[in-house]
Amino acid sequence: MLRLILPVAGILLLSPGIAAGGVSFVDAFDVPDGAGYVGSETCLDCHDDVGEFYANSPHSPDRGLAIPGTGIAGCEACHGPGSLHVEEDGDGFIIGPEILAGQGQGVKVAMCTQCHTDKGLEWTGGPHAGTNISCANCHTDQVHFAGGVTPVSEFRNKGEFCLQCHTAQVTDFRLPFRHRVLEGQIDCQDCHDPHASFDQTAWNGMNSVCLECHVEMEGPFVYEHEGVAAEDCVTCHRPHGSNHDKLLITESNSMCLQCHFEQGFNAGDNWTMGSQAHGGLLNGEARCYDCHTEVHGSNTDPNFKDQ
Amino acid sequence: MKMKRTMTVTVLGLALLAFALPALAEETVDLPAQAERIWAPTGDVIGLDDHGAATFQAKDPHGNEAKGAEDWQLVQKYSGQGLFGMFTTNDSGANYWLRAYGDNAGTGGLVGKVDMGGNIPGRFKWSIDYRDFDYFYDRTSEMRAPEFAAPPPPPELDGLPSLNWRRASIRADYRLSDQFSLVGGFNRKCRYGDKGSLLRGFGNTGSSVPGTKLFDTTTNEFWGGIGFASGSFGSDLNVSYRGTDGTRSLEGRHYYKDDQTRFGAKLGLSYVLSDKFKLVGHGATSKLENTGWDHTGISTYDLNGETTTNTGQLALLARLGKSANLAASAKFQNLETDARTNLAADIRQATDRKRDSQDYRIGINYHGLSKTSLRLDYKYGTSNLDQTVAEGDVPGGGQVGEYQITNQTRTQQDLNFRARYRFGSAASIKAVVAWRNQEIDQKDPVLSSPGNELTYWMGDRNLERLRWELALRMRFGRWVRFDIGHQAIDQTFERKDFGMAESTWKANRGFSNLTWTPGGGILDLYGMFSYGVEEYALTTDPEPAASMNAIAYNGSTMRFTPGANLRLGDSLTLEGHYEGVRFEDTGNDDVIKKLQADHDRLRLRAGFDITSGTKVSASYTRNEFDENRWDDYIHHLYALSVSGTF
Repeated sequence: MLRLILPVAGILLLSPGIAAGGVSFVDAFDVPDGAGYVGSETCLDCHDDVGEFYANSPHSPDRGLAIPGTGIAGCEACHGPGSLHVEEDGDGFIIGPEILAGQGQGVKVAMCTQCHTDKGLEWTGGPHAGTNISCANCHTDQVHFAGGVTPVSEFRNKGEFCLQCHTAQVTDFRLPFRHRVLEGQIDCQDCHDPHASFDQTAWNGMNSVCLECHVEMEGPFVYEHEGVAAEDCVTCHRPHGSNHDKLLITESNSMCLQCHFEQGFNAGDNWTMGSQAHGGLLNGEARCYDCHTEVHGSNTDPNFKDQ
Repeated sequence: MKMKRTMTVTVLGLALLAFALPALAEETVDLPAQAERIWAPTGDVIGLDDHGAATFQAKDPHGNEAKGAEDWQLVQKYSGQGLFGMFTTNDSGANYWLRAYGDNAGTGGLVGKVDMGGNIPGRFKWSIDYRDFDYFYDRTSEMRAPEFAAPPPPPELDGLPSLNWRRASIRADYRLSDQFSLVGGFNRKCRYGDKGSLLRGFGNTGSSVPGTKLFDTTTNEFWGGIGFASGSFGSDLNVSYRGTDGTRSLEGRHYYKDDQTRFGAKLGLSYVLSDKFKLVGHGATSKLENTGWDHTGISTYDLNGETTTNTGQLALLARLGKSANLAASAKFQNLETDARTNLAADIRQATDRKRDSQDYRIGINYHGLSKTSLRLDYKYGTSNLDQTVAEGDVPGGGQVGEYQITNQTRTQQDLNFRARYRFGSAASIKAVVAWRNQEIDQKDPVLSSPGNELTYWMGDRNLERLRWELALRMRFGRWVRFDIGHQAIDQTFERKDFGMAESTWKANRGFSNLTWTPGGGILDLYGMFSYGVEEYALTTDPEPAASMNAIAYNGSTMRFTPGANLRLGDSLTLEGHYEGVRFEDTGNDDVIKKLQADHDRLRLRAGFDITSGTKVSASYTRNEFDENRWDDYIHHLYALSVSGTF
């Protein structure tokens, strides 16, 4: 056991964001006295199988990249100081793959964010923080190998990658009306940031994602629909997929009536909404949208009608 | 003694192995095999090698072209498609990549996407992305009434609405030093064409075919930012300009001219207080203007609207002990809108609107229990709306007309709980419960002429919603996955000023996905079975008259997709895939005809390796859609492809 550098309980204090503050990832481990850095060339003397690919990796030692403010570079930036590992002919004393695999998310992410500091700031509080997902789950092979055409970079259909875990969305994207993610026309990343800053919609609002493409819905309008302006697009729409046209959450009239149902005016077939009798229209196969076409907001009609 | 020590070490070793193996296994089971790509174009290549493919397609259609085009994005009888991907590193260590995909199967023009970029790791990164696609629309999809009997199609169904989206983005990141970085980019989005609308127009109801919306708009956005990080402090400042210009129309009757601009700036700050606490702050301001016009078919109104938004947020992120994270934040936002509609020199419509809002959030993650992660979030938000709308100018303006002043206070609470428990590496269960309470207090409107309300008045109201989700994810060995889940919403909405009118919405969605991918060697078998239900019912007190239009929905979707791959020798591969989908809606079927649609697809594909890097593929696809409304078609699609890696 002594030949392994064991993580100490304190590593769990090491959040990705805190790592972004300049704390070394290796500090999370109980590094024995006397362990020193030997440089990647020494590592590759033995690990030549990795070196063959490592030369083209974004992390290749040839690129002179180091953990900001530390001067620690190459293999040892992630695997820790290697002098004792070398002295013991490669037996223990290194943060090897098996030890890394056993770490929690915080440590795994911290390994990457000690250099990728911008992602560290974003990650904390994001949707994948607190799960068991860490950087390497998506950026497979990009650590040691050339990172051009790995699955996460597969561009025909990036959505396929995310949907491996988000299986409920697979069903949504196969509904008759959907954003065409599986068809490769739009990507998950067009709306979602997998690294995500502190709840990206919390301060911009949920609608800000939708309005980047559907700009005309942003107005400004003289008459705004409260359901759009004071609430979210998802009050009426299901953005991933729906059985109903325009990605509505349910059949169109039913959706409007959730809020616009008025008791007391509901005598027989003569439904009245506002000051207008609607019974004849709704009994006659009319859809609310047939008249209220400006439902997202209007500059000309207070009742969002086409006039 | 020595034996005892050996046994102890062995037992300890096995125990360690028992703990270590699931840990290692979890690395693989978290992300199962790449999702099935059975409908990927013939000749499609994905991998780490540079690659290219060229495909020729011939289509033999029968039936309704419109629906077929929407589902398949295929209009042309003959079409081609190509795919290319390469990645290279030069002697100085810089990486470059170029990837492209294109076809002309839609309206005949070339569509697809191109992605190119490069980087000098740690220093400089750039990318250019361009996408050009046609979206096809089926205007008959929402139509459902007793008189819509099979067989289809009615003669009114003409043309095929299609909207072309073009998007381009350029982005560059440059790290000046360990402390400073620059980032900038340009986005462009263009829409051209028409899309299906829900509108059937005044007096056009029942079986009338919905109309179309026309688009010809362009949005350009420039943005740039600077980042600074030093020690415990990090910050970034971004500014952006977005402009949208163009025209739209609704069924050739109502025309819109967009001339919208938005200036925005965002500032992000973070500071690590200690090894347990971190502060994050955001500030943003934006100004949105629209100076276009509306032509309503009778008159043309000039628009002059402006919205200014200021937002600030402060958050504290904390690590509580070794197993819990806490995030707490407070956000303040102020939004002001001034908008006028002019007919020549006359102000016809105006608004002066102010909405102030605050929300406070606290969330905690806890993963101290074995195999369990828990998350609890609570949000309390309030907003206040002061709004004056007028026919003419608002009070204080030059041409004051009839006006209505509205004051509204909204209070909303959200409580969300998420829990996930892992049964070893093979199964996990997830539960989500979300509760929302919304109280809206709307004061009686102040009217310039009592009794003459300008806008629809909702009055005081209260919404209570409970949403829950339960999902079980299981892995049986390496090859079989089974996901099953249920989502439900139970909502009650009360309108207190309308005799306590109350509507109840209950929605239930169930889904299950069974995926199997056994195989290896000569024969691979795989597939998926999924079943989803969605129910919707709006119940009111008193009940609506029986003759009212549909306000119930009961849909189910069943999907079955088996497939097999057979390898014969070193060079020949045979593949067969089938996908059957049945969709039904039986809501209100005592009044309205039940909707039923069957979609069957079959693909047979053969691939032959000419050399170690070159492959020729041929495929036959049969695509049938059979619906008891208007759509019914069969497509036969033949494809021949040559692909290679280099």
